[in-house]
Amino acid sequence: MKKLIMFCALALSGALSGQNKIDFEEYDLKNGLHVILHEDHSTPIVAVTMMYRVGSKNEEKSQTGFAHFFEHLTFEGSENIDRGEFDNYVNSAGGQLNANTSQDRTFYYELLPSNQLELGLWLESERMLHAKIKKIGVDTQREVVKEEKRQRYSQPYATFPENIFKRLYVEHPYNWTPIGSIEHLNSATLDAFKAFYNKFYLPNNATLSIAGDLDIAKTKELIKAYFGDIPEGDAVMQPDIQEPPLGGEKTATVFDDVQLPALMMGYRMPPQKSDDAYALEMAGTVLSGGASSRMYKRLVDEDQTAAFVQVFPFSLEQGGAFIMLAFANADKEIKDMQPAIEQEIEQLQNELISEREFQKIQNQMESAFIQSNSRMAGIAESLANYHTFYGDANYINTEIERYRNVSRKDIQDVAKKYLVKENRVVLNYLPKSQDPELENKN
Amino acid sequence: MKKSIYSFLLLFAAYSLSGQVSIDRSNAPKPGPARTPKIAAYESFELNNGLKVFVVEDHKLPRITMSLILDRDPIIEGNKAGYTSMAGDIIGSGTDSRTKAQLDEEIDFMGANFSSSASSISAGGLSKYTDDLLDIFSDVLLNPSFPEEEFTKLKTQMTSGVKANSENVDAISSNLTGVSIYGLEHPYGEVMTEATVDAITLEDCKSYYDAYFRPNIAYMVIIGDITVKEAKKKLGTSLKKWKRKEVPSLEYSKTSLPASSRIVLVDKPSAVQSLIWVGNVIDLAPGHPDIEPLRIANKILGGGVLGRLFRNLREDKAFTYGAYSNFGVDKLNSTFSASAKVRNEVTDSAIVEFMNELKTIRTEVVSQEDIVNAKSSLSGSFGRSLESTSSAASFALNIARYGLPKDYYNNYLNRLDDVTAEDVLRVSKKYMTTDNITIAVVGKAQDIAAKLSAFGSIEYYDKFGQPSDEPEFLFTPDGVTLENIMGNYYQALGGLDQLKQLKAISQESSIEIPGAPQKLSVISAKIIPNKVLEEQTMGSMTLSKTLFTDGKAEKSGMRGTSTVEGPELEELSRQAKYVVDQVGWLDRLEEFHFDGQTLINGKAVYQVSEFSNANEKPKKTHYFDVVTGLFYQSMETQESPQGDMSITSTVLDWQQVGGIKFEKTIETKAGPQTFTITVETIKLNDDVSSSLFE
Repeated sequence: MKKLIMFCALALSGALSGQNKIDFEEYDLKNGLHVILHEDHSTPIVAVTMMYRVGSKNEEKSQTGFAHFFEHLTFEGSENIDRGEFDNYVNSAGGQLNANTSQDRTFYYELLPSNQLELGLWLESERMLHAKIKKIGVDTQREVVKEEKRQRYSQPYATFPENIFKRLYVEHPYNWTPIGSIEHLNSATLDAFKAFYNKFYLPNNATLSIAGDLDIAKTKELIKAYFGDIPEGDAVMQPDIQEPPLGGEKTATVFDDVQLPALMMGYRMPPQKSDDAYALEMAGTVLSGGASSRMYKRLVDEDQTAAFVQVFPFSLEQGGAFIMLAFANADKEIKDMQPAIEQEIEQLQNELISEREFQKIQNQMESAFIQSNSRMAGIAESLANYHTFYGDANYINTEIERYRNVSRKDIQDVAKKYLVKENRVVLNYLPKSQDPELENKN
Repeated sequence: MKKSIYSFLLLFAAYSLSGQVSIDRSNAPKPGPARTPKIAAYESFELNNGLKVFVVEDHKLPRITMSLILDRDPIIEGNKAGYTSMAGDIIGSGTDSRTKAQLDEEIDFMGANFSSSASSISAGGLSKYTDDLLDIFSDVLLNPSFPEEEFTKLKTQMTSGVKANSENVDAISSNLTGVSIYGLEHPYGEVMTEATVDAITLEDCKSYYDAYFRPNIAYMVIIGDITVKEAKKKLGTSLKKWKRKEVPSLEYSKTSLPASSRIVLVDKPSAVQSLIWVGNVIDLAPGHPDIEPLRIANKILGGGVLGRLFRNLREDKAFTYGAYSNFGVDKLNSTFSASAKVRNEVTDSAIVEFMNELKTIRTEVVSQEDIVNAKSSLSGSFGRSLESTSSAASFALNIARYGLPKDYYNNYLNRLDDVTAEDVLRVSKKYMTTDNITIAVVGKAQDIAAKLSAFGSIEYYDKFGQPSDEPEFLFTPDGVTLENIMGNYYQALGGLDQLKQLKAISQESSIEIPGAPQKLSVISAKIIPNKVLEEQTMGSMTLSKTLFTDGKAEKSGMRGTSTVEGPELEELSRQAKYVVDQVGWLDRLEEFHFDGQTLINGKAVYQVSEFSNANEKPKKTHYFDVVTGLFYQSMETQESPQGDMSITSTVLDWQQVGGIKFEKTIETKAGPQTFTITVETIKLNDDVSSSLFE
């Protein structure tokens, strides 16, 4: 008996080490900057990343698009970095840099040869300490952002997130998406941009996460030297807005440059940290995780009404949208797909998923989790993300438990609670040729 | 004692040095000593059936990927374009012992992924499932069942894909560039359409599989948590039944550059951005020594945020979200190209900038700084790519496929380092062109076509690479009226006052008539306000002569003399009033209507219709050049014994006489015939001899 237990324990520890535990150190500087360091010498590269807890949900209603605009603007230079030189330093050091903005945060990263770690620290500290907010930069980047928006929206169906969120949230700033309004950017003054920078680009509102070929002790010293003197600012308050219930299904038709009609549905979601959000993610996998998933099998393989279906929880700090997309097969219409989709949702509400199916989605989650942390850039981002939004960077090792804790009953319960008509937006994407107004014009 | 104090102090100093890092914010920090990145090791072996296997062991994570790649020549699929992809899809859709649903379920249950294509099969998942994954892999590879039902399903899905792509600018551009560089009859220029998908049969897929899925042209790459020994044993068992067979080899001739630059356009009426692609075919095979110099040239020109294209078109001009250049390496042919998506109104300006940058890099030696930065950037990205062991695998694969030296990738950084500025100039000249370039644009013709004509005569294509007609559209631009079109026209000619002051004109013209033995000569003259002459002669023979004086007109010719009456007489008396006929329009503006802006021969024009009766069809349609303001073309329909015949007169060239512009070359198309009229001499006012009218 004892031997058996020993064997089990061994097997268990074996399994854990096989999952490649990510070791890291974390601490706060006096000014509130949170630092996370992960050391891995397999390749001589290092990912220097900075996550600011500012996204489109921190914007005023009259200043949408600001957070994303700043992602562009802060590359314009600083007191010590001339205009256009930011990219130059990184590229000529053999590195790569980029940034992105979501509803909840703005994320910058430099992926550098490990002997250039200090360059990354210098650049990020310059960005935080005294980025250059000048008219020429604002004017140029405003035009660039307009082109980014044009480019994005020129893709078929690309307006769907905006169309879902603006109907799903009315009071909450999730009402708009990070790209925001060009009019707001056009009308904003230079002072408004400066105020935004001073409010959010603070050490106490950021996480510096570094992963790769580094020496922890030495890196700590450098971090102190580059960031220690940056003054702390006023605490950043996150929006606290109670969104009233949706109060009934909202439907809309969008005529787009598309040939295949598509049905796009978004259900309001609970905050990403909640147990329900994890259960919903499992529900999404039941519906469209792989070709054997319920929705894919039914609509694409059996009914053949859809060319492609996808369900994904777009979860955010304070909510989000559980999104279902179904693109009609050639010569099929939305009405050919919709009843089957409704039936699949109802079945999820009415019956527990089978044991075999439950095991399957657990395996899928585990496989994805184990394979997720293979690159330094990804590890640095995950650590920062888990610290910022889950309050625990170690989620990088333990988050799988949150999925394992979801039961079959939980999946059924969240389907009943959230995947209901009163809680959703339904968009019908149709070819422009079907627009009755266009007919009238002709 | 002293000594020990010293060493104590030294220790302290060392400590405080390491404790107090001093930084200088005003300058970028210097890098520390660099560690050279290492390419992961691989091993290879060959099975008896000829399958070559590469294994890269990587035990960092408990996962594995296995990929099979067929090394075959490109295939022309012709009117069944898409059939090899279909074959790739169908083999993954059922085996002798597993239905598609069973395959899907087994793969998903492992949390694995699996895909098959025209020339590959790949699978990946946790290494605890290696045997199960390999079982499915070999089953799909060796025993596909080609179910009819799945075939029908895939055909519909592929048709849906074609429909979806027909609205995607990137897909349209890829069709357009493939066709314009290689032509539709080339494996790299073929375009899949609903018709070609419809023509595919299950038999096509089966015979493709039978001919090409053979171990003797295949490579198997295994990466991950497995040992070479295990891999040998497992593959030896599962793939030993795979039989070799001679595979067809196909040869193609190299594609050459067009004789001169071309501009090709797909009209996407809803577009708010133009996708611009400028490029040319190149011949650059794997392993060629020009690859590294060209990589550096490309990096400097448009290989990222440091590239001149990005700096110029985005950071300086804000035309675009991104502008880049690129090139391919291929045994047969590939392209060097630059592209960007820019807003409609700057499409032509962006092309000018592309051409400028190409010209600069082809003619000016790059700076030392440029070359050093490009080298660091490229070696950095090489280093980053090694973070993934799949790089090592793809290097090994390329060495085998293309017969490269074993140390080809180990020496990559050295080769890069050896490149000089002169090399960059040499390869830029060799692989980029500005004179034989293809400018391929997907965008809104209404907004951009007129300006693009400046780069040459536009060739139009549809979304699937088939040549098409110039798109038709007519729209009303803001603030344009008939009055200001006329005003601009008079202004372009030399000013309305000047035109009104002209008193007389005589001009001699010659007309070339196809098939006629001699040119036709025409003398036309006017004295304001009451004399008009029009005389046509061939050699010494007068063919016809019309003379209008003081309200009466006579026409004489080979058939005798007659009096001119009715509308023709009215027209002559109108012509007698102004030297330039169109000045007379101001007296009867109500007979004209501004229809809108359109496009003729790539030229943006305002369309103005002329009515003799408001309730009838216009008797004539006139077109004015939007850019120059000049009259461009008129069109009318006349009855003829063969039915309605349309007559189009287009002004091809202008000449300046006495400060006023006059038509110089006019091309007239009447039905199937084309005449070119050249105005040889023009006399004005006192120079006009009144004896002409006697």
